[in-house]
Amino acid sequence: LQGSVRRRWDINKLLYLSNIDPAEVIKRWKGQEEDDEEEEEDIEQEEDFFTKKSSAEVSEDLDQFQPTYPSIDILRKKYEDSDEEYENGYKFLKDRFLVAPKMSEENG
Amino acid sequence: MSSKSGIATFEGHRNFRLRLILATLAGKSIKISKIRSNDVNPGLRDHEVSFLRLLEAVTNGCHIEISYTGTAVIYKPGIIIGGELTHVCANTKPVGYFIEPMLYLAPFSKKKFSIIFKGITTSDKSKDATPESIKWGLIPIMEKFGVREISLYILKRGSAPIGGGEVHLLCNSLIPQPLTIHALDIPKFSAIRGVSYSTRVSPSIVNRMIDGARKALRPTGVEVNITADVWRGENSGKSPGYGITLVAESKKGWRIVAEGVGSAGELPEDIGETVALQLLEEISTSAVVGLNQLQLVLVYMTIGKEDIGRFKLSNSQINENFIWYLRDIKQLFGNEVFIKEEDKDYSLLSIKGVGFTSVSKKIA
Repeated sequence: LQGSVRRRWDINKLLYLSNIDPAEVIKRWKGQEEDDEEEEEDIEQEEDFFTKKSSAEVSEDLDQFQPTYPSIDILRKKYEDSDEEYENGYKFLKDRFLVAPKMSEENG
Repeated sequence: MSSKSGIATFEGHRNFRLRLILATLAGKSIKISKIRSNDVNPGLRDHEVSFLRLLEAVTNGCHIEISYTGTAVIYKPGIIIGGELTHVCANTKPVGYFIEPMLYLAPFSKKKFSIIFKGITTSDKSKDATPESIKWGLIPIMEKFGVREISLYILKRGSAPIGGGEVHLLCNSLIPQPLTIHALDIPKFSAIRGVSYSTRVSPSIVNRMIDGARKALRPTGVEVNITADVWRGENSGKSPGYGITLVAESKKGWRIVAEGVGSAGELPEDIGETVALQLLEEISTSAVVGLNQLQLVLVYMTIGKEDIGRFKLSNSQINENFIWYLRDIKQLFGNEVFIKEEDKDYSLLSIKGVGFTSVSKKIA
């Protein structure tokens, strides 16, 4: 019974629970939460308790304007390779562009 | 969670500028602690201190206290006065890092903003806004909120690392609060515009970037118009550099923007193509606004009239950063958003404005 039913969280309830980390909120909301893994993590954390924390970290820039995109190879695959008729307009972008109806060749 | 003393406290270096801007708009004191406390080089960076100085310059009566180690800041905001000034930006970040937060303050100031920013205009080392993306990506969004007379002029360009650029931000409209928006339709883009620029390199690089971008954008079927902007001589700064900014435009004035700056060893054609594909990716994963415009929209909606504003959001835009923005906004303004999931791709976000009034319209 457990695990078969994955609870779907209401995003509005999770948004402002300050005891839940935003990364965790996204996981729960998308239903990617795996309880077993979490428990294992806890055990590891206990083991780590006595080891010295690696203090020499370089902070990530958490205040930037441009979002991070998948690498160019992934994007190329997504837009050019997997879309066999991309020459005539990217398939999943068709409803996002307003294109003037093309004159058919016979008319021209 | 404001403590008893009425100071809102934050931890870490995340959203540094946003938190200070929100504090200024809300008129509440904040304390940010544990700023890179585990870092090899702890504390505030040069650009963050430079940004604090800028805030001090555009406001009157603010009070900033930085701890001895630089890992904590207490900021007590003053009133936004604006005026004419020149800010020499720290060379660790491009001018966009400093201009972007000013867009949140300028329309609500006592006097008009006219600031000249000196420093690096574009850098491949950081992912900050370039003057182009502010001009074409953020200012059109501000127009939606009733900020009509705001402009940005590039007087001199300057690529990283030495810079030497100059950008002028001019805001002539002073409004009491942003308009409430209702953006329920997902815009369709009818044109893609762009600018491909270079400083102190061969002009052919600019055209090579355009070729790369056009090739990837041709299948969209919309009109693609990319301008070549080659800078040389005294006004082109002290370092070589090049980059491209692309923007998809809808007839109703919404914009999606993507940009890239070349680094050593990269082919200009590849940069053009990368940015073009990033633009397509942003269009396909966004609804009304792109990820890089979301923060501005959320803040402007929060400080609107006491009405409910709504806009359509793509579910993939609900990410970690988005939640951080909302929590920071809540901590200083106390309002919450409501998200209604409409289908598997899109949600409707509604925010009730807090009924903010700009200092220019307040009766003393």
